[in-house]
Amino acid sequence: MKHEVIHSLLRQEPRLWRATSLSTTGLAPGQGASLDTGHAELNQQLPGQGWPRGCLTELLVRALGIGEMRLLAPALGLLAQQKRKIIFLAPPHMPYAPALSGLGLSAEAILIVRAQNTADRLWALEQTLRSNAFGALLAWVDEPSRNESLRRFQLASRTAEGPVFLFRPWSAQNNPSPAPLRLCLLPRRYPGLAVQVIKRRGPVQLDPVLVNLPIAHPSMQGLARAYERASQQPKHPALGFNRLNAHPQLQTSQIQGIGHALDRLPPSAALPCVGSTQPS
Amino acid sequence: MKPVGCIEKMQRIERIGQWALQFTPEVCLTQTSHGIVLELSRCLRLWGGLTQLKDQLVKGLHQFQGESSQPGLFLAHAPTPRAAEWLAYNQQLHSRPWPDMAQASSLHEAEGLLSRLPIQALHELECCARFLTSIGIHKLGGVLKLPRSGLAQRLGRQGPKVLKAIDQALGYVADPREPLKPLEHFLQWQEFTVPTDSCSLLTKASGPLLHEALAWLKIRQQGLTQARFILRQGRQTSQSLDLHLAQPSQDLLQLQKLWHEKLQHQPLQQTVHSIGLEVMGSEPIQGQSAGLFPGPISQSESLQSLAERLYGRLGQTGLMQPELQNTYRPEEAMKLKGLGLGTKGADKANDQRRTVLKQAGPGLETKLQGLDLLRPSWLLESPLALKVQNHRPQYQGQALELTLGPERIEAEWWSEQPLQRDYFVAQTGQQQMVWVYRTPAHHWFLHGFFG
Repeated sequence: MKHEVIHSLLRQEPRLWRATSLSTTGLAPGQGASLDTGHAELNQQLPGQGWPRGCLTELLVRALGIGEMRLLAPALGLLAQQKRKIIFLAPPHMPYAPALSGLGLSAEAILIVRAQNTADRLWALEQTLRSNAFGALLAWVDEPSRNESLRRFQLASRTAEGPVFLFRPWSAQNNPSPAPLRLCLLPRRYPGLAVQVIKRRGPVQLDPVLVNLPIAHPSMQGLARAYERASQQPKHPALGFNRLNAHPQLQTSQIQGIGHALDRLPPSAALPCVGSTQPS
Repeated sequence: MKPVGCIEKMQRIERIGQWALQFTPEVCLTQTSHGIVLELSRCLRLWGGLTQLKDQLVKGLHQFQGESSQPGLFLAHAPTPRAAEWLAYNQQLHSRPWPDMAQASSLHEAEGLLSRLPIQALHELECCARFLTSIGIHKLGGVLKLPRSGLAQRLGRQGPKVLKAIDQALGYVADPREPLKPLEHFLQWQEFTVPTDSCSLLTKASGPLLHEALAWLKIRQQGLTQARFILRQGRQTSQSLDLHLAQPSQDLLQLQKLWHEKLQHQPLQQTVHSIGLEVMGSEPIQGQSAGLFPGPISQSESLQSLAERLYGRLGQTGLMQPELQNTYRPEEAMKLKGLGLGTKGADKANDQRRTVLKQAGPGLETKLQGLDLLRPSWLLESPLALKVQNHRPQYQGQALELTLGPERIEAEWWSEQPLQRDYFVAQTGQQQMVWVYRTPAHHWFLHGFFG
């Protein structure tokens, strides 16, 4: 009897989904359809099959230069084609338009907001979110950022029509955040990038998703191929590793500072421990 | 002739007159300078009828009403200016302030209403009011019933003047008046009863001023681009704050919001006695076609208002747009410019640039678009000097592995600081792809990240 009620509720109410399955829409009420990421393997792992619109998406990156722009490029390029603006808010370095146009982001579509101090940056971010004047927003905040301000941004971003990406350092992943989607970007061999979902509306995902990113420039193509060959060749007997592959692929657990998803086991898995502490 | 008379205190009446010029080009002050008369018969259709126009007038006059202790405004509508004036006086006599309005749509109706007016209500009949009451006439209707020639004889020297006024009210004689001239330059003041430094009070005071300024601009079919608020503190000192707008605007709320934003970040030197507004710049504004259904605000519009808010607080570098430059010097290949031009203007400028490039040569533009050149998605504004160990550049304590390159960029040999760099793509220990260069003196610099 109970099961029938649950099933009928699940059928009727698109906002309900089982914790063990990824919600088909994964959207909060009033939220628009999500935006295709352009990476099929990543789409499968995201609620709503794409970048969510009108909510905060946290991207935890240790340092720039591991493929974060190429990860976002297909979606941003699509928005740029629709004459929407891509706003970079307080980026740590200058978004370089000559290169971004190679990724499909024309210079006309890019806007850069810069502010001198923290208070102005937070104000500018909130104003931008409330204005809903962008196709996509890529924002950087000063760390450690306060939970209240993140909560404000999450609320403000609800009115936005486009996706909102908040770039945060790796160290922020162990702190709670109101963002409904949090992704850790792990560096991989050149064209690739591993994305670990550390929070989403759906079941816990333990393994990082390997995403094959587009190659930004034809001359990088050769580089990617060289890496490919190097990984297929047997290792050099004397050296034990290939020259090109001098930095073997890092394992998630080896990377310093990453709390593995196993740290956050569901409560049911932790139960036996509780049992063992009871006096026999 | 269908004028509306408004009776108000002398000080503000001319300002109201200036403001009312947006509704009709013919606005006159009454002889007593207590009221204004608007000629509306030729523009009623434009404003969608008398009821609509009255709503707009009343809504706008709210701004002049100020505190409740101020005397009220009295409205009347009649076919002749004199009749409207008299009916408005009558409204005042019976203390029926706006939005109540005495209305007479035809001359016949006006005569009916006028004949019921008490003699004291009529300014022009003041000189003979005593005589008329002494013969038992208290209303204008009684005067109209008297034989005309006899009345003229009895009134003596005042006779022709009084009869002319009555004839003008009833529409028998023309009533030419001197129309008000619009101001050449807009500068108006608002006084505070108590000196203040409260941000919210100053914002509130800007409302009526902006309201007047926008009405003045509306007559010229222009939008505000630059305004100066002058805060008078004490007798000598005053502080002026400028507002700049990216796009000419006629939006009161937007301007008030901007002014509030500006005030919040501007320390006041002293308490403010009065606030003045001067229009420093304006541009012709394009009318917008209204949609049948209320739709969402377009993104370009909300972008404009966002840009203004950001410029207001962060200065002109708050919001920038990259612009590609035709140079090989990486740090100069992209320049940031403000969003000052409207979107249409920017597009036009881009089109012009493209045509120039096409004339210059076929290969240039493609290079400019970064399709030919390998460039990083993040550029460091000032290159980071790298340590060198065993002839290899180091980044964050680890040796960089050069994977692609070199690409030599050599330019401007004629200048004092010629550019000669060998650029490499390198990989860091953390699998970042970086852009480094070597100078002829074998110094290494980090210049970008391949995101």
